[in-house]
Amino acid sequence: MSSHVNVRPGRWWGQAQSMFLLLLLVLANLAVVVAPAEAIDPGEMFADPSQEARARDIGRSLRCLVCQNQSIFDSNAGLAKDLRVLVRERMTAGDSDDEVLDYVAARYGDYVLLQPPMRSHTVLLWLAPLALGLFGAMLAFSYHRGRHQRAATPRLTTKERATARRILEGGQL
Amino acid sequence: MTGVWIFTIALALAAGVWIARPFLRRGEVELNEADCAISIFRDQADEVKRDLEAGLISEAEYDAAREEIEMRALNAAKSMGEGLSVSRRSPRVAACLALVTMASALAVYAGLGDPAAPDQPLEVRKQKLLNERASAGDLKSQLQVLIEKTKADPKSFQDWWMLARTYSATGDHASAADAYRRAAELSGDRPTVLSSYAESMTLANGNKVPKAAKLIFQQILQKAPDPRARYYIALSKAQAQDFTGALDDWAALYKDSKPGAPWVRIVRRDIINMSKFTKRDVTKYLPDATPAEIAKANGSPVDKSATLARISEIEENVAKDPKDYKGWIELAELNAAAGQNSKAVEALENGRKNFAAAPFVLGKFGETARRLGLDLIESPKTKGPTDADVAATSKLSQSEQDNLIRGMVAGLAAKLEANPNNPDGWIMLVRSYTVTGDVPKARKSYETAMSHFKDDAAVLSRLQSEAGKLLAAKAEVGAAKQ
Amino acid sequence: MIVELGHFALCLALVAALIQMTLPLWGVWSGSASAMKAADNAAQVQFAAIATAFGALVYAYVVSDFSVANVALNSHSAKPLIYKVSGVWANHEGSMLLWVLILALFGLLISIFGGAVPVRFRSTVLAVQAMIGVGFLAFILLTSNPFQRVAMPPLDGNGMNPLLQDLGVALHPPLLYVGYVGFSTAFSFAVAALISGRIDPSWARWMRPWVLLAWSGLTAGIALGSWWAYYELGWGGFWFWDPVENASFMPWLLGTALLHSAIVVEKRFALVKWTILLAIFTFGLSLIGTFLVRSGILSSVHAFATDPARGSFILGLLALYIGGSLALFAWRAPAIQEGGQFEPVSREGGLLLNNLLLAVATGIVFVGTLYPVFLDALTGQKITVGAPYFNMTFLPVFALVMVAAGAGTFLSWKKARLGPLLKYCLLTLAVAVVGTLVVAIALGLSEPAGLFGIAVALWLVAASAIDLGRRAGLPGATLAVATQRVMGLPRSTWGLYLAHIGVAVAAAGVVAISIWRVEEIQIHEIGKPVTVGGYTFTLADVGQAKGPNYQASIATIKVEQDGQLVQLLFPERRWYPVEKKPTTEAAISTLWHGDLYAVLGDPNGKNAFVTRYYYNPGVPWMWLGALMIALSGLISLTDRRLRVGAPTPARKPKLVLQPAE
Repeated sequence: MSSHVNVRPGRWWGQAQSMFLLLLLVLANLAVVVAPAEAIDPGEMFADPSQEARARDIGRSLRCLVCQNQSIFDSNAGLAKDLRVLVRERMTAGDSDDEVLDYVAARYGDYVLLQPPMRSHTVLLWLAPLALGLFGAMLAFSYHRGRHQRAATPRLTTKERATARRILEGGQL
Repeated sequence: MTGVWIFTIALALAAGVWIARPFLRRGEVELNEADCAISIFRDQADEVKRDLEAGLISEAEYDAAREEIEMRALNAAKSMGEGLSVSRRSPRVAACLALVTMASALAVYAGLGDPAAPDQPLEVRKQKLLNERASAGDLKSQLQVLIEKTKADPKSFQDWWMLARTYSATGDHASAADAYRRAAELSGDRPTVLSSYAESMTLANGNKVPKAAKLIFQQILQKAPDPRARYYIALSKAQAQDFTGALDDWAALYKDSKPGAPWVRIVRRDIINMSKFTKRDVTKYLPDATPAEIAKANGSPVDKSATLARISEIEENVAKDPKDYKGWIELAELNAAAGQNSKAVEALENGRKNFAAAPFVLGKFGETARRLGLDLIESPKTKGPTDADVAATSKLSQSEQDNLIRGMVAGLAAKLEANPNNPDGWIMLVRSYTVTGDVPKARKSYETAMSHFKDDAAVLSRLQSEAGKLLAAKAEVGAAKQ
Repeated sequence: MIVELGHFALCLALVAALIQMTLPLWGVWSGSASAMKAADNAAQVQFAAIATAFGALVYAYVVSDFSVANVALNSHSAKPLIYKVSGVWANHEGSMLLWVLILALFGLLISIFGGAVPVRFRSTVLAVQAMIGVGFLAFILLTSNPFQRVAMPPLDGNGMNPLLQDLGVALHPPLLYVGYVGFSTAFSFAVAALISGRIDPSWARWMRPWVLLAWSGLTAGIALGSWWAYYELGWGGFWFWDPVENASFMPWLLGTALLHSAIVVEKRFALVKWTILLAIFTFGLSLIGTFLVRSGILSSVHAFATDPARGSFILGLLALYIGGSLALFAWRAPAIQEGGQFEPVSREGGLLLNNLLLAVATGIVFVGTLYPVFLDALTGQKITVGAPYFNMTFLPVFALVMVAAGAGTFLSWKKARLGPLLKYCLLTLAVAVVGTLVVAIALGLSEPAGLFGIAVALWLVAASAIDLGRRAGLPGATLAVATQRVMGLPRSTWGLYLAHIGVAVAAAGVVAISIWRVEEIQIHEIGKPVTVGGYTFTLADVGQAKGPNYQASIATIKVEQDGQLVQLLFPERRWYPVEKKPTTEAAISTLWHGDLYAVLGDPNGKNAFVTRYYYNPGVPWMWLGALMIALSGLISLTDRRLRVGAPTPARKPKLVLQPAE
């Protein structure tokens, strides 16, 4: 590595980052700048599988800000990658899962949390399923009570039944 | 336009008649609700019966279900006679209905449509447009027209010849060569056509006479003393390092040419350049050389020591900062002016090495070489990075990679200097500089971009959010480290 | 001229729809059967006219007639033919035209196959269909006219987003629209019943085939969209609970409820008002699904402001149709007398529970989808309601739906006997628990959530199988009798089993991929093995190849299990020099239990590449389940009884009265 190129230490990092840059620059020099699809790349991953699993769990409850409801671990967008890196940095700094989420939410707002936290303005959202269930049960109950209170259907006389049978079988009045 | 109206009226009439049709038919009684319902209850009764037979329901359940169905049937039967729907024949209503349909559809269309507008399929329009533009002198359209013509009649010499000349005019020498070849075949290998063909091959080859072209030129010369063939044979000699031969040939060509011939200017230039490289007396080859030309051929009359001082200054500069492409170009120019051709070539070569992956800068080097006549002795190999090159970079050492990247960054900077209207490019440049650790340059290019786009709020905010933040982050990290 | 004829045809369609909307209602009021029957003819004219208009627009796309603004804005002369055609509905105006085309198609089908529906009712239904048609035709002609011409046509068009140039995307909207628009028939039957004021069990039978058709189309449409995401996104995601997906899922959930409640109306004439309401809401959600999604309002309130004319027109139409029909409901429904009584534990009770749960599930999705929009509009606060919310709230309710669906098949109409019910339920439970334990031990699975999901799926499958046995008379009946009985079961019963098993299979697949998917991302050196969920992936080689318009690096990956070669995978990384875009082509190998999914990334160092490997268990089951569900609707459609209650010819009443002239 030449002395004045300040690339971060670490084999993966250096390689991955300079390769990435190289590719971008080729594109920039040719014509249009296109950010190539970059899902999770090995350079950003933790070596320890349990740490990595933790990172994924946290990442799945964070929204990629520029996508529609995709989590940052499901997205190829560049911003999602930045957030992934941030999550990993906080974890390395020793944060617990909740602390990481709080940290990210404090910076980007609740918008970034795929599971909206319980706040005054989300109370209705969280109560809705319960309320809907209760309302439905009430509706069904009152429907049933209403039916029971109605008089039982009057039975048909023998003559009526004979007429009905004729209608059903012969099609004549 | 009348065609549109005829069709629309026909369609409207057909639609109107079809909608009015029920009013034209013999009267009949329709099935009513009760009828339809009872057939369904009958079906339900059958199904309950089947369930009973299958043992799925008990006799009591069957009877209750059956009674329910019977009750529905009775209810339905009560309304059997009422509200019978009868259709009657009434041509007057039908006619009115058809007319109303027609008239209102036509009225709505008259309000919204554009009946005078014809269809304009691209095929038809393209031909018309192309012809118009071609006759107005647009080369690209002329090309299109000629391509179509040669496709329609591939046996026409005239079309191929015109096509080839148009290609030459647009600078697409490879395609021109191809077309000239077809024209030559059709002309029965007429020497003038053949020599145009070989010339295009040469131009397509970066002005280096390829073997095939050389053979053609020789073949032409056996038949006729075609000046173009003579010129290129001489050039090929120069490119094969036979400078004396080339010089002699050009001199001979010059002597045989009328003073006003179109190639005379080029031949003179090449004689002068060649005399300079080979350090010969230009008057021997060009008896009527002007004093200025003689001076040029003899090297720079200007203050040589100043030039040399400047050369060593720039040499130091580029050694410090090899990504300064203007430095390399100036070095080549000064060396050429001082008569140090090999050093000039070397300067360009070194420059190329540093900008291997920046086609824009490579193009600039090529231009310089042509301007200085250096391409006569060394033909440049300019090409962009291919995918294979990129793949190969993975095999490069880290320092080689870094060097390549820095070359690219510098290339990008040069490109932006020439054409700054490229916000993505600027963002990329700032990002690149921050990654390569060149923060001052990053900051400087950020400022340049900001001032360039100062009137465009949208771009400014993009620059701020994408490039500005990067710089801020970098500054934060820098501060933290101290 | 063809373009202008298309434009004229669209105007003609509006006029035909206006006639179809008014004439039959006048006929019903005055008793003129000719006027009623003219509804059929008007529906036919309306369809033919819209089809002509659509054909003209397709023609304009195919010949790249850029004097049509819509073509100039959305097409390009260099596009392949298929994408020129699919480009017709890849934009707002064209997709609206497709929407009304399918609407008119359903009108045409009713006019042709509705012969068993009495003319008075059929013409009312068609009149309501036309009310919808008039609104949207006017919307197209006035605010989104695809036949708008430009005076100075450009030399070439603007082109189409390359991402949309995909066969899946090309076919997705038409199928989804068959579903969305198909529910308009349910709406029309419901509103026609309210208008005519007479309703009996036959009403449900007339309506049910149309609901089945729409529901099958919607199922297939949703599955296709999900399938496309799975194959295109490059990592195997298939459902994100994003607003667009939710918008198609809500009508499906409510349509499923409608399908079930219509059975109760048909058999017992109970839940009538509820069914009418469901029909209105299902179509209402379809409208919201199509238009609010297209307007972009679901992803951002501000999208609405960019084109207020269109936005307010659409909102006005939505308010008119949904509000108008609800007002009609409030006015007429109290007069509807419901029939059959039933006990809480009965087939009716079970279906009521099913409806209740599905409606609650729909409500949850609705709240989750629209809450952020309203919150943003009212308070400016931005929140995200994502997968975790829906997983926590929707999934338990849906699990209950599946449990209820299993138990429901054992219930008899009116009043179920508790003894046999308990017996069958315990048997089913035993099968489900034992089955789950076997699966857990055999595969060494322990995640409780996943095992619970598997158990619920097994419960539903077992319940269907046991119910089939019950109907066959097992145990007890001889094999011959049992076979005879099974063969004699009506098609709609087979449809029921297929649908329930399909839901179970798809649910098992979803549970499997959600809980047990394995993902390995690494820098993979050529020749080195990597273990992915019991499979060994070895990167054998990466070669270069040239495609028609791209260059590709193609990896050869050997997948082995216990030393046996399972599959060779060839993921590609492509570079399109013209577009200057790289793309990844995942290699997917489908085994019966799951997919092996490999993605090739960038080269990294000497002889090494970034690779991503996934083992996605259950994925083929999802598609199989969805296919079964869609097919079940079609199978039920072929039921003799549903051939729109066609009367048995031999017993057809002889009713040849001579008209009194």
